[in-house]
Amino acid sequence: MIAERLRAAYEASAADLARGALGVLRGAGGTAVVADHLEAAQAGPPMAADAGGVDAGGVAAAVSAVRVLGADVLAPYVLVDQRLPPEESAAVCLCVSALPPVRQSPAAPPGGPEAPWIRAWIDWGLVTVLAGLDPAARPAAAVVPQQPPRCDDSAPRHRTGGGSDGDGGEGWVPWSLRMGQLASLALPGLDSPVHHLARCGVLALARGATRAVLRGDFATAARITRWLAWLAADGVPLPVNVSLLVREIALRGHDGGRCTLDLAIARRLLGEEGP
Amino acid sequence: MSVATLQRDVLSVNAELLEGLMAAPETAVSGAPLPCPNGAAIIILGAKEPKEPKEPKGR
Repeated sequence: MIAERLRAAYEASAADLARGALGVLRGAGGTAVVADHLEAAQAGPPMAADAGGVDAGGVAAAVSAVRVLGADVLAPYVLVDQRLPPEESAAVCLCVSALPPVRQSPAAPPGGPEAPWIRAWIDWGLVTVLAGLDPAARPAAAVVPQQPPRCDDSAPRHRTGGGSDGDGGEGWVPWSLRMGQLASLALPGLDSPVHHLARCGVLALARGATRAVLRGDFATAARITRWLAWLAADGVPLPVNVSLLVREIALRGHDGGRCTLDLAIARRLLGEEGP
Repeated sequence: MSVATLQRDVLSVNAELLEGLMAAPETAVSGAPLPCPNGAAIIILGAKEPKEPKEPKGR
């Protein structure tokens, strides 16, 4: 029960933070969304204690929201070339230090559990973007995690696992879903083995985004489409019309929160202004 | 400055919960009925994977 309440609190805080980042991207919000988010959490009422009996507080949920969104909290500064305020840089550093990134890369799936490995990648993205915006910032270092399994377009679509050592790739369904989970890495200025595999997995990403739309899972569709938009900005030919895809997802899946933020970032990557 | 104040507080971030949110699975397909006319359920035999197109017969 307490774990469920905490999860709900963390999710609500992440949605709230996404709305704040969206406001900055649109030029309608303040310029220190993370700092403002932490301040509001500190001023708010305490949350339920966690299983260890420690009062998690709204601050922990706010810090977790920053970590869940990863580099997306800094996307407005990357995409509109806005200067990162010092208090914002300090707030992000604080959030990173609250739970430092792992010092050793977890094994990539299927060799290891998926969740810690995804967290390692999201942390890497956040720390790398912050260092690019504010070289003077000194967040805790984040290692480059192990690269994901590659995708094999001819493999059975639901095949999981696959190996980066040439044992056969993964099916496009699990592969594209995992790329969606790493959507916060789809930003200018970032490059890694994940980005290399995205360039190699154009068809799988197009299939994954289309499948998500057909299933009515617009949050996943928006996240996978982020990669398609990033590829388009990178000059990679695509088998789908990403602009139309973004428009369709926005029409049917607009939530004012994370999905809308993903779509707004995708539009910026495509060079399209507006919400 | 609020950030400096926060540094003095104990921040307990639940790592397992955080990772669970980051690695959230795809949303399950909605179980809501399709907007079909009455009796259409008899015709619809259930979702199937689309079959691979057959190779055209040689002429």
